[in-house]
Amino acid sequence: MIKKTDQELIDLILNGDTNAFGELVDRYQNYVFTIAIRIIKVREEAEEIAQDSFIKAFDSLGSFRGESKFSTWLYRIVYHKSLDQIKKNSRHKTIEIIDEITEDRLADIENGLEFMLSKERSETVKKCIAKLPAEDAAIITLFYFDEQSVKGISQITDLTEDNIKIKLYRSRKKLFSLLETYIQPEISIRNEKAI
Amino acid sequence: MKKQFNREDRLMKNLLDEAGVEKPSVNFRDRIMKTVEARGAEIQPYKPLISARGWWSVAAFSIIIFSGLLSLYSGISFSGMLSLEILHFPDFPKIDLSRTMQYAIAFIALFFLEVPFLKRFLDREYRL
Repeated sequence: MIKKTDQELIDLILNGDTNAFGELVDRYQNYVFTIAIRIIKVREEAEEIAQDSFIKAFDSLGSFRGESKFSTWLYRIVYHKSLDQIKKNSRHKTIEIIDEITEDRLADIENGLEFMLSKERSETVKKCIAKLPAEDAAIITLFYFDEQSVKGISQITDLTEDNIKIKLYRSRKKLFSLLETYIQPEISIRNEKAI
Repeated sequence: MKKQFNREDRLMKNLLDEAGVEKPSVNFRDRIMKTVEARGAEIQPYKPLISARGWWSVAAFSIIIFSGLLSLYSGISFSGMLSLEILHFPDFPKIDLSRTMQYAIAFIALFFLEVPFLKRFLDREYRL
């Protein structure tokens, strides 16, 4: 069966076929939920926001003019809803560590990560992303995971392209610094065992 | 510098790929669909408030009114239009307005001029 494009599904929904919306939910639920959880950090709240975002998208589908990709439009909804939620909770944890990561330190991080099991490594990365400020975590997720272009991220976040490039650079440094703090004990334990 | 940037970029991509997406609970889709179906409201596709046909009608109507006024006040008939006599500017009735009225009209005109700017601003602020 040929997979329908987003626009074909939207046309079906606009013609009264609500089931077609289910296909869009299937297609994007993981991405939408990932963006929400990376910003909000709490699973239950993130799920609620992701759900509200889909419902808002359904209600506003009539105003979607196809000027951008449907995914960009949908991510824009979830991004702003999530930011509103953390503002409401006034839970704005930020960390300001922008260390210069030298080539040697990067090699240490790479080696340390190699010694971890795949599951352990992915858990560590998730923990580190959870410690990033909301905006940084969202930008890094959109850029690396969903492979959105800087222009696309700019449409989602309302930030300028230059600002996004700077934020990407900084969040990458922050994430490496965080990873280093997780990996440091691993490296020393390994060294002790070797001695 | 560029080499290290690329190395960081590659490592970050691999790590985030490995971390993967987060999955919502199993009944996530059902909850959304239940709400969506309960709404039962039909979504109307986006339509501009005044359609293209509407704009053409407004333009045609304005031209007819203007031509009507022109023929009424200038005392020329449309049959004479071909002889290019229309170039004589018609004598419109003189309107005498008080200063207060002039200010009022100016402010109303200013208000209408603001509307497109305000619309653009609000569209940008509240777009989805």
